[in-house]
Amino acid sequence: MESLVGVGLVFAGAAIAAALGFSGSAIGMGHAGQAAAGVLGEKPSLFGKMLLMQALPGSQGIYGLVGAFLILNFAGVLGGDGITAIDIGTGWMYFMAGLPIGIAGFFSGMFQGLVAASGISMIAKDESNMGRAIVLSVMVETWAIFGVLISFILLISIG
Amino acid sequence: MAVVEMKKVHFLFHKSDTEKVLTEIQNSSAVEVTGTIVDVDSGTVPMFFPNATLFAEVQKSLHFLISFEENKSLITKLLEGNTEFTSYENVIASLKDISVVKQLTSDILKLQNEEQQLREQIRILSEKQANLKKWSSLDISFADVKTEYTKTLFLEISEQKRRASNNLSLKTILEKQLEDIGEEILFHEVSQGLVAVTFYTADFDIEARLRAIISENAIEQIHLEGEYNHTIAQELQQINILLEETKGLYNALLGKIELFTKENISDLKLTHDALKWQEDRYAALALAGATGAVVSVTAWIKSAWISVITKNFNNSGIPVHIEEITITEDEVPPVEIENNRLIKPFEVITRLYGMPGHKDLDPTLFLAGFFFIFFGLSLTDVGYGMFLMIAALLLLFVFKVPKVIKNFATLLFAMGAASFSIGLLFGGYLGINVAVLPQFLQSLQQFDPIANPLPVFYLALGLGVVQIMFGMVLKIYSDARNNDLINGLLDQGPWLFLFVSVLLWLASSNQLFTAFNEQSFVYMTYMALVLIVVTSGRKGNSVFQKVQYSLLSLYQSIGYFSDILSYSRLLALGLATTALAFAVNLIADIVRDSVPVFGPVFAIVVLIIGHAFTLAVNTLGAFIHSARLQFVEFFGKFITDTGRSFKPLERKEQYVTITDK
Repeated sequence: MESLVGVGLVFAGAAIAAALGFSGSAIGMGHAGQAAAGVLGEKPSLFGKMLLMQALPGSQGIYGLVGAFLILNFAGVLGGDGITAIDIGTGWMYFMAGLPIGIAGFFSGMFQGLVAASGISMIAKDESNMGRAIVLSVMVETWAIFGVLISFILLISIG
Repeated sequence: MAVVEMKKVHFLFHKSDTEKVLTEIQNSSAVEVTGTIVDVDSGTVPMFFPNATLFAEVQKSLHFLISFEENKSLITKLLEGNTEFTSYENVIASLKDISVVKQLTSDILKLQNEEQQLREQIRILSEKQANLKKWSSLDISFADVKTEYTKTLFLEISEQKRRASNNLSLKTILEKQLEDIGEEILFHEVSQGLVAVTFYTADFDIEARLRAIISENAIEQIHLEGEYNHTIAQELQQINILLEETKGLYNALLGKIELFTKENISDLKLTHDALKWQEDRYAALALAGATGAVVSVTAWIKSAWISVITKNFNNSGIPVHIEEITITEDEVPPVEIENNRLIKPFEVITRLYGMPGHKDLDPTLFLAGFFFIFFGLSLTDVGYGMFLMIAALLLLFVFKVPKVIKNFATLLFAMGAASFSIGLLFGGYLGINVAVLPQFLQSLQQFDPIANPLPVFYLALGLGVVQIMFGMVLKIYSDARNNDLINGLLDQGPWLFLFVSVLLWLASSNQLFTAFNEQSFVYMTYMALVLIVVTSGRKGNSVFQKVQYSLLSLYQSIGYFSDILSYSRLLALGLATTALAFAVNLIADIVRDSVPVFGPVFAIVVLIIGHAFTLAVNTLGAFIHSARLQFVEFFGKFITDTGRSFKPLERKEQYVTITDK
């Protein structure tokens, strides 16, 4: 029973890492997409640049996916012999390891989308602002990356 | 393979040669006309576009005819092309006789007016028909609707309103409110919501009460009287006949327009583009300066083209003097990039970001290899790679598509090849388990990202380190080109030294490099850190600032750290492709086993749609993220500025594709 709870916690950690990352990206990309749609109504030729700007907040979903895979792999669920016995304490550790990437991914994805939307306005006024708009947006992503880092450190620390 | 060198020149020529000179410039696509600094003394050169009105008419006519063009299937459009494939001479010839063009547009305008009129007539008749049809069961003559003694109102209530009034019919609603009037008012009920009410004209009181009820209950009065004289049925019959006749005329006209379109639309498209080119030439001329006899056009020109265009003018016998102007310090030339055929497809990615500064390196050559690998790692599937390559070959050799699409098709082929080759190493075969495939394919597999993602994770980070270090080297090179080698070495050198030290330390601690002991590399790392601190401080103006810069310099390591971690997305994207492909196969299996008789057929449909979707979504994701890694993590290392794109005067092909050079 205890091992089932432990495994359940591993799954929960992976699920949180993925789901929060996906959600943050979805919200962020939604914000950016709305701004892009407005610009494209006036300047359809900017589609490629708009698509790129909209894709920037999608990174957090990808990091969530990476995190979920790493959690499942480190726990031996994926790639190992399948589901193995995991005690509750270890299960909680894996669960916690999913939190940095999930929570950071959620909030940074959301806010990166807002910055991307503002960057889209910059590009609409002057296409040469593309580089600056990308850099401003990507600054927010730094914290999601640190979330990946801490999650990874926690995972490799689990004995 | 670089940012093209630009020169600023004056073109000086006689006003009578204006059209020839600008045509030559336009055909070269190598000259961007800019505002002149020559004082305009007096202008006798016509600077306005003489065919502006005609062009507007041609645009309007073309827009009209296009709506009647034969609808081609997608395959036909791809095989025959969506533009007119023709020679340059044919396009120019379409403007030989302006009067012919004017007559053509005049004829089209007549057809357009006729079509609009008939369409409007049909609309009005259809509306009348719809209105009258509602009342068709009412057997009264419109001649009797308003007599000397009686008056009839046609009333309608909306279904929503009627339901809100306890679902009573309109007749009942009216009767209830007018029940004291008795026989002095007649109700002809047509339906639950339609009633004709007849009363004596002299009964002003009844009319007033009726109008009050109409107003309070949001009842609509339909004004049918005045338009008709006979019974509703007779009027409806007449309208039906008239409507059929008008529709007949309209269909005949449509046939005529379609035939006219078939015969004339190709010529009109050629004329459109010829006029567009002329308009662009005159727009450039508007920036020029002129005296009584001489026109001066100031322009940016690709340096290598000065001799070419001079030769072309000489061969054509056009006397033009090209004078080079010194570019001032604060003048920023436009930027254009040129690469060989192998690298050229990757220019799409550079152009997506924007041009580098005019003093920067053209990043296209340097990103090509990395983009190839990153895309391959992100899609990681032999099957999808093959599909992309086949699609690219069709676009390049079978389908008639615009040049822009052909350029992208070459990139698409490279992307497909990347996915194919890296898919072999990763065992990606449309989500099929490698274990069921032939032995020689299994032996090619070097990585299994699902079973063991860590090696792929480290590979992705390793590629990131390589690209970042390469970016630093490029920065040194770029600085050297701008006579700033010392600063380049002092800025990037210590960081490169740090990266190399850490890499050697990692290799040593994992027994991969045992030439020196681990401790030596630790000392190297400390030396690198000291070098970073020391060299960063040189930029400060005061002692305090030098110390401040020195201490803050190490903060940049966090930026490098996050850059490297960003490459972990390559693992995720590759995993996503594999997982989605696997899921599609799983669903197809379930469908095949659970649907009797037609299970295999439905399974094939699931496979086709599922893999098409997976291919589309993952190709887009792989492209976007591979490009984003170039823009954010790579370009930022050596691109210092964003340049203004070079916008030459050129022939923009909207409805035609010129087949000869």
